[in-house]
Amino acid sequence: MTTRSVSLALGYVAGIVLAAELKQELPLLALVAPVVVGVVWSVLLWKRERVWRPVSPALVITAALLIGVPCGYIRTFGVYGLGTELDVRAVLDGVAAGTPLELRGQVSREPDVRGPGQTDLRLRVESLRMGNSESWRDVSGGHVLLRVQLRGGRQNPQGFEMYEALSDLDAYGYRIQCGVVHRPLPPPLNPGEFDYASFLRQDDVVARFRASAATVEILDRGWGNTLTELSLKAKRRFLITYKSTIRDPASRLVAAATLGLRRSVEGVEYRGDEIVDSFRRAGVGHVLAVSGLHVSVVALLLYYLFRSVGLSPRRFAPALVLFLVAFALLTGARPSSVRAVIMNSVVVCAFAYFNMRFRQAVFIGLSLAALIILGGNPHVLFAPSFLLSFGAVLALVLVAPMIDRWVCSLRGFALVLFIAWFVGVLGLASIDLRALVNAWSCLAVFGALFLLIKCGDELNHAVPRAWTVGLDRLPDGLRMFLTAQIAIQIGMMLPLSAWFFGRFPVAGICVNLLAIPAIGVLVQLGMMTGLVGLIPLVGDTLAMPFGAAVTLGGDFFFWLAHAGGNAFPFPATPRPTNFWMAGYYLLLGSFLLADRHRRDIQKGMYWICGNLLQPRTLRILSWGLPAALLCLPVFNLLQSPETVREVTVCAVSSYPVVSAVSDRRRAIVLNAGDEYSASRTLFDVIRGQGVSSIRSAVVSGVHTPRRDTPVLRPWRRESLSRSAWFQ
Amino acid sequence: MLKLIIIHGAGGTYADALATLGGMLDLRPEWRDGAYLLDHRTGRVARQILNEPDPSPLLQSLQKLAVGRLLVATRTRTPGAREPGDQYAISEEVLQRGFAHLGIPWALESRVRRGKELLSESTRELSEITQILDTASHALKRTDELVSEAAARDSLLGVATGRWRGDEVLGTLERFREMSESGGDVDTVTSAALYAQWIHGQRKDAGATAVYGRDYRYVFINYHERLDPLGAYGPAELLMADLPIAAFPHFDDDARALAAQGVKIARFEDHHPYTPDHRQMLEKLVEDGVVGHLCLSGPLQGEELPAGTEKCAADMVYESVVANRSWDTPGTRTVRETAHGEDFVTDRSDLGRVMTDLIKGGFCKVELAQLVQESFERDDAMHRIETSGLKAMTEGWKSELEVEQAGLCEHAYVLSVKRPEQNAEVCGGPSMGAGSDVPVPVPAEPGMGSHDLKILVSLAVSSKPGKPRMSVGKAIEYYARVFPDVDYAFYSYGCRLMVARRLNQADTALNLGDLMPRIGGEGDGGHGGAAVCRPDSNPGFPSRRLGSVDGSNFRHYVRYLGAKLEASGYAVTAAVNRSVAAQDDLRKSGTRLAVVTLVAVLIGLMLVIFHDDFSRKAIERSNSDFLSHLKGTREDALPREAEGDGASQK
Repeated sequence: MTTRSVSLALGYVAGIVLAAELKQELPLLALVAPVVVGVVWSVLLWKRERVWRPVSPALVITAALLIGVPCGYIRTFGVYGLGTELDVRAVLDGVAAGTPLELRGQVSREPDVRGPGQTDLRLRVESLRMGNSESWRDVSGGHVLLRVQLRGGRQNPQGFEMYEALSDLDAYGYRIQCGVVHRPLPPPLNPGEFDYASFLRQDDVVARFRASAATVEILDRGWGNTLTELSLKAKRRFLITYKSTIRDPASRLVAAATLGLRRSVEGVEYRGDEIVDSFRRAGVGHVLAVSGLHVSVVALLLYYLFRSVGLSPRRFAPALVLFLVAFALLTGARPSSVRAVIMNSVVVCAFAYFNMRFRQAVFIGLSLAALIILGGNPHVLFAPSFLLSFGAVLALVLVAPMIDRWVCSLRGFALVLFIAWFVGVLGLASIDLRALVNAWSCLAVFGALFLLIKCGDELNHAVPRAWTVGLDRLPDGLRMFLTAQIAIQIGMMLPLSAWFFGRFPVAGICVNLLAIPAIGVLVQLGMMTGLVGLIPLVGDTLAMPFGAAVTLGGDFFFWLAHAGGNAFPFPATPRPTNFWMAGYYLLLGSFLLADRHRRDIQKGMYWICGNLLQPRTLRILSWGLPAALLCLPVFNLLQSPETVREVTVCAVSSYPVVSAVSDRRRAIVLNAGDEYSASRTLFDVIRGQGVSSIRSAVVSGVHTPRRDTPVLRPWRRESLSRSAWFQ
Repeated sequence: MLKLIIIHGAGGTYADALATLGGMLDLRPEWRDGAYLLDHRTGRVARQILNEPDPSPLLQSLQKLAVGRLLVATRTRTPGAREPGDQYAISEEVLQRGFAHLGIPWALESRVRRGKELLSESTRELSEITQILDTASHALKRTDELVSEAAARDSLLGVATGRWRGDEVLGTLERFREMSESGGDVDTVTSAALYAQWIHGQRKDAGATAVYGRDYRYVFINYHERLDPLGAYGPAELLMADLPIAAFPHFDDDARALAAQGVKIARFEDHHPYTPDHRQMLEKLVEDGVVGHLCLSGPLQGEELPAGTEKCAADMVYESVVANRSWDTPGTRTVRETAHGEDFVTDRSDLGRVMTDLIKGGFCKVELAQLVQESFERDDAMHRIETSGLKAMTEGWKSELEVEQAGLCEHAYVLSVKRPEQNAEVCGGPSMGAGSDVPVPVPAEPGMGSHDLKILVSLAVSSKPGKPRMSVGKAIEYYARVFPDVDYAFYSYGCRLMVARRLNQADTALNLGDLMPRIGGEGDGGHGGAAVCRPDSNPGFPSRRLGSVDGSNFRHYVRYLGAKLEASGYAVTAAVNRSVAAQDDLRKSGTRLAVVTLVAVLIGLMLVIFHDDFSRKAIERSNSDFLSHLKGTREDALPREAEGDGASQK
């Protein structure tokens, strides 16, 4: 079942990628026929398996792929391809920029309050009319993002009332009408620049509009989905309880971690630093997005509650799943929380009804979650939240056991030296990330690892008692937690942080050791605070002690993130090329494959060493090879003179922003703009060109730059060699 | 001439245990195909020693020695000399899982070097063991005389060196001895004791003394086993009681072959069902002088014995060689009645119950037979059992097993298998009860009323260090009590090892020694009533689907075993889940979490009561900017740039 479900999901993903790349409409028969063949074949294979007759895994996988790939293609092409005339995207594509429109639609998600006087509404458009046209045109498919702004403040009481109504959680389900101006989103002007239109598409949003609150009319204050409405009502009550029982800013943290209100901590400072920045630097930004950790904590809490009243898992599993679904809706039903809810639901059902192994349940849950999420919106496949969320779970399930097995095999001095090596690599990454990006240096780092382990083994032989020292002496839970952290860094954080965000939080490895248990306690206490607050009349009072405890926990968390973020660097990373990413994961995959076949490899190696190599030769090789790897960075010295590879002039308003990148991936930049052009445009451009350090920077602008200006903050501490300011 | 008294089942003595210990010191493993190979007998013992969850210091040293030899063998280029069926594999996983603390390097050179270090350490620790072995061996055997097990124990207690105390050595030897025990019942043990009494009586009448080892000795034969190994004893006479002839399909050939070597069957007395062919074969053997005395008291095929006329083997032996002779004592009559009561589950006595418990729990059957024979004179068998601590031992076993009860039954399924038609009448059936090997009488018409075979398939419990060890014998004995309707038990250590035992001694439908190689690999097997196999070594084992078997996929494994039984010609009619849910470990974590939460809430309460910053007003004031629209105040909802207007208007 596991092989089948994983293959089906992977096939579906492959179908999405194919459709997104090809954008070609294929004959329906060509897509449906393999599905039918795949289904029939799968049934036949399943019948064979029932009687324990051997079935080749390759056949099972092929049959599942025959179903998955065409299904993914069909579904994606329906989104990418030419839609019907009624498709809102198709209609808007035919409207000229600047055309006034009127939209009618239903608010399909809870309002997203971005700040004072700005709220985003996700609207499912039902009909629209253009300019002064009398007739409304019905449309379907896709959503639009409507930014409702409050203009005029107190001088505009009508607008203020409307803004309040639209910002409230009750606005979900409202049917509204508003006047907007069609302004298509421009494509990115600079290489590597953030593609906002693509970002919106990942949320199934095809366009963005702005409207003044005064121009919006609520046609019907109806209800949307009943379960969502009930969840939002509970959420409202939770928030009111939090505001009454938890001090600021801990209340914001709990609202984000427990209820998915990510923006609640935006613009808030702690000890002079923005909380969001601190969290990112400390590598704990993930706690602000409801994902697997949070959902698992809630699931466990509910599990204990049900068990404490004597119910067996078979009885309460459906109720628990229902609660988790409500929780997903309560937190905004984002891909990470939806994935986590599906997975936890599958695991609960697997334990309750099928006594299934955890790993098997996780794979089936992941596959099911991927199929459901991607079935809803295939664009989500390319969203950071989707990849990070699934990547984390895959790293835990696939990479962590291998790491655990490997570190447990290290004994005595070998273990100590490995830890020293690990700390050294972290330090190296903090000082100069180029060391880990350069191939020769990477090999040298691994050569050092092998050498240190060999030295450790030699020392163990000299002091035999050292063999008894190993990580297997730690409690299993602690050890597996540690190896899980390493696995997540290797499997997900390192490559995907570089790919999506361009920064690597060195602090994350250490800070998360405390942060993850802390957020687990915080989420549990936060949920309990909210649940107690639901009690009529006395709820808020009873929730006070919980809220006070949460406040303490929140303060500790802020302190931890702030301290961690300041203690460790936050180096910028070049954006890896596709080739680099493919190579990285191929290498990781080969390690996993080698681990799976470790016994065969061991057999082969022992045969070679025992039959083909003399002990002396073996000894020379075992020392010589790692030593040779250590010497490889010498090749870095044998490089030709540095030359400029490309010069990029960025399209940024009315001032010059230029970068010149050398063949050694160093850049000279000129920024005559502001912080935004430095921290966003310029950063994305040179990162996309593979730059890991800035050799020289010339800063000049109408805003008087100061020495400590944040214009070049992303590079300043880590990799800026020289800078000059001109007024 | 030496008389060999047959006890059915398998067993060992202290002398055998000493030999086993000596064999462990001389392990010769071979690294091949990714595993360490040993000869079957040594390998079985080595594996049990390596898997010992709570080893004594001596066993720890032996473990170190074994691991050292295994590691050194990685580089040894030994040509594969063993026959496929004669090898026992110890995998890398066994080493890594259990002995990482000894240091198991991956690199070949380092591994071999480490192996030599371990050998050196263990050799130092065990340097005095060789001396102990020599001393003990001399103590247990004087010329051709073998000391009794009780005397052997006393001797071994006195064997000590600077490093090893006698009780340590004795404990290890008892562990080895226990590893050999399986099968048997009260009837076979008492029959053997009665034969011994007869021999003692005869010698005494002749003015001499019977000496164990010189005049007679106890040997073991299991159902479906060949009799050839008995030829190794040289010219001898066999005294066979309580062996169902149906369980020895090669009896004729084996008896004649033994006779050619000077080993004759002096007496064959049995009470189990038989066919006319069996009778004819046995009478021919008598006619040819291969068998001396023949007595079959069991029902012939298609017949029933009148009620009250049933005899067990002990009854027959008593009547034929003990009754009304000078060596007939109240003790012999007590023990005969005890055996009768246990076999036919009628008028069971305390003595019978405790003897059954001892045998099922893996106590040495030779020692028990010797104890029983020594008790004949004073009729004090029960007293001896009590004063020697054996009764307390069985009670201890029961209480230990109660602790593990939930674990033993956590994953337990019962397969119902249609009894083979062709020999339903003589393959036994449900026994009269616990401790009995007498089948419930079958009706006259063939095939009618014979119930399906019941095979219990259970997942083994792994003992944690410090907790009472759950041996196979104890587990099997427990299952025999808790599942009285079950005929066989398949006790599974995942899919790595499966121990099969006949629980119902009245049933001989399954030859476990034949069946296990079909479920496992070629080298697997054992006896008819006790065998082992490695299911994952079977070429058709679905390792991809089942992987390592544990509680989460055990039911699939049971289905797989059912399929293997069907492939072996047995029709599986049902698979019933008889598992008992264990306590949910998550409750312990939940308790911890509840405590943490309670502590947090108490701290919170203190803050609320004593700290002004945690009053309701202070908290609400601190959250005035946070989600102000929730409360709906106009002032709170204004954007920042308009706040000045709001303030002035106020």
